[in-house]
Amino acid sequence: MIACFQRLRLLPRGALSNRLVPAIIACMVFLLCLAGSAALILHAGLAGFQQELAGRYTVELPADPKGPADPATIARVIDRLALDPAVLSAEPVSTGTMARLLAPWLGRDASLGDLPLPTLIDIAAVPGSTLDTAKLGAALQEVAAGATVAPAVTSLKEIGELAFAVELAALVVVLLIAACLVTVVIFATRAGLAAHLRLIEIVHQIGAFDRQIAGQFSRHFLLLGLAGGVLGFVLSGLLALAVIALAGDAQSPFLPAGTTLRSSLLPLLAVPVAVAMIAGATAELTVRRALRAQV
Amino acid sequence: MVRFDNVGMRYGSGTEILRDISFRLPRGSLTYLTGASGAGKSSLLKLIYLGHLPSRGLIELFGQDIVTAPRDALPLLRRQIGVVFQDYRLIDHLSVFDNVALPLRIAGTAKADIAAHVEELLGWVGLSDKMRATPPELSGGEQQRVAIARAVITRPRLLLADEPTGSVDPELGDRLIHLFLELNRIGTTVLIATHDVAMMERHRAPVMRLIRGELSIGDH
Repeated sequence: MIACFQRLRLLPRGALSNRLVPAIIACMVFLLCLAGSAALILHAGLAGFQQELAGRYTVELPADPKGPADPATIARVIDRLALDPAVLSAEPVSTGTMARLLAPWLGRDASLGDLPLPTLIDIAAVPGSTLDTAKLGAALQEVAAGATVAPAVTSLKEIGELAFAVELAALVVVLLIAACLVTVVIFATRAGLAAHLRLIEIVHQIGAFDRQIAGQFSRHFLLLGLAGGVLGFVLSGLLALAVIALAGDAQSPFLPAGTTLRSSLLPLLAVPVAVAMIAGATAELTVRRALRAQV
Repeated sequence: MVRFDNVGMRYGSGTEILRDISFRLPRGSLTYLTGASGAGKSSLLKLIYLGHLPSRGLIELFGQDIVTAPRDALPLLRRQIGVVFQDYRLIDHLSVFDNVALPLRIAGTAKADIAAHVEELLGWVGLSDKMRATPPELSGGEQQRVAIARAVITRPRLLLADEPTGSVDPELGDRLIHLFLELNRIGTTVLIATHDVAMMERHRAPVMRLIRGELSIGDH
């Protein structure tokens, strides 16, 4: 019974609200998705960074004036490390890697040959386990005097706290924009409806039930909200993808792979749908309230 | 059909603009409602078409007390009332066809029946060639005929007309009155609010007069 009425396009196609509401919603969704993308990319990046650093340890064999530690000593240290069940792998840091790490201080073309550099061995711990650095250090003394073991980053806890603070700040920004978005959608929908109050009165007078009238407006504004939401989402998505592509070009070891970053944005797909539902629900509630004010 | 007992009406918290209104409109009757401008004719019609609730008294429509009726019952009562408003109240962006079809769509009439009924009625009021036009493209008289067609398309049990001849030439006014009389002959109860003394003389019927918010009833 209601379907025949609902198929009628009761609301004018050329109404100003048909353009203004989606435009306003598109702007707000663009901002929300942009802030959301930044927060999600930051979260994925920091999570990857922390994961990368957690479980990494370094063995340092002290510098010898005669030159780098001899391969036999290094081999003995690695064999000893292999005996520890918490050690997943142990690899000596190559001269090339050392040169790259020191390049910011020594210059790209500097020769390391004359410098009394320590020999470093990179350890990856078994995921979820922690190395007892004191015990392992003492054991290594038997095969290489002066060898020490330390976590790759001693301030991992502080980095984690900093990451949490940054993510929290990003989340607050996202929530603030989301609150603005909901408010703007509600106001834009109400403003759009204000122009149609006479129409509501006429249809009401002819004998339409409140749910029939509210349904017409709800569907209309749901579609307007969806149009604006999708537009804003697509624009912000393109921008976010461009940023991810740039990050990929940088090949930073601290950034996760592009696919990880792209998939971290998937939750934002819900934004246009949620916005459309808010617009539809606002229209429904506003019309029902306007109708309740009448007989 | 319509029963008012000691009805009062006010807008908001203002003074009563209708006082102690009591009358009955029997089924199938034709009645005029007249009175000076501002006497309360439109307000009385508003009470009958359920556009406003009384501040006191009893109103019965089709045997149902509308003051105590649940809100959900009112739309079904409204569908049995056709109203020709003084300002027509057409929907400007809908075609003549869609404006007239609106009450049928709201009532859930089948699509094929809607087309048949609307086309027949628009032919009857002389607007067959204007079905796809929108109200702003029509003259005042044509708009009024659309408003009348919309009011009668569902064959209402009660037809209310607010100054239906007020803005049309005498010849067209007479044709419209004949349309109302025709509907009245097939059983529709008709109440016409008018200033048009000549029309009331030509087509005699009981007259209700509103004088400063109070009602007096005469033969004609």
